[in-house]
Amino acid sequence: LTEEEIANSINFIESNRKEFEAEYDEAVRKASGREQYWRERNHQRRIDASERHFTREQAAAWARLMSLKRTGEAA
Amino acid sequence: VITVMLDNDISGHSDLLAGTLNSTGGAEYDLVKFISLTDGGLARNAIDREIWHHCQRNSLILLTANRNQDDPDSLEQTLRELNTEYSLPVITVSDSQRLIEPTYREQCIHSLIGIILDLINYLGTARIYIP
Repeated sequence: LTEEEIANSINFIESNRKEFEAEYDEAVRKASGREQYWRERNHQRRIDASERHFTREQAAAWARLMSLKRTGEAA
Repeated sequence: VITVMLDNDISGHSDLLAGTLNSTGGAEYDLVKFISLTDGGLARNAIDREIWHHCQRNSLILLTANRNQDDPDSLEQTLRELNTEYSLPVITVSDSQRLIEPTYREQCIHSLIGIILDLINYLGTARIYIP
């Protein structure tokens, strides 16, 4: 966007703040609902790592990933 | 290498994502490569339905933001109509505005690598939210 377009957008939002915020809230609500739908739908598909059939390289990468995750969680 | 195509709404974070992939050691196994829509042979203004078909035909994983669209060609509508048990999933960053946070970005990269390593178990899931 050009500076003029950005300024116009900001001006529009400022002069229609109430409607804008209502629409924004509705968009957030819908996005959140959609995310919840897909997370719940896919939750049951998660399988135990022991059931996976990795190649040696994939197993090494997976072990590395788990190690990184543990490090991240501990930090 | 699995090629991850960054949707327009997230392509601005391409360098940050690639940097995090490197800094977390995720790049050392050469699992993931990021490309843009245009790198992948699409127009920047390609519609979601076309992007999804392109990804399926060319074995690309689409990484997108949690944007909100209800039109008939939206990604959400496309997934609900066309996804099959063999379709490649679309990966959605739950809160793309937080990708500027290193910790959040790392969590997203870890989730992404986990999905890619285990991709066969994610076929048909349509849409996966990360982290």
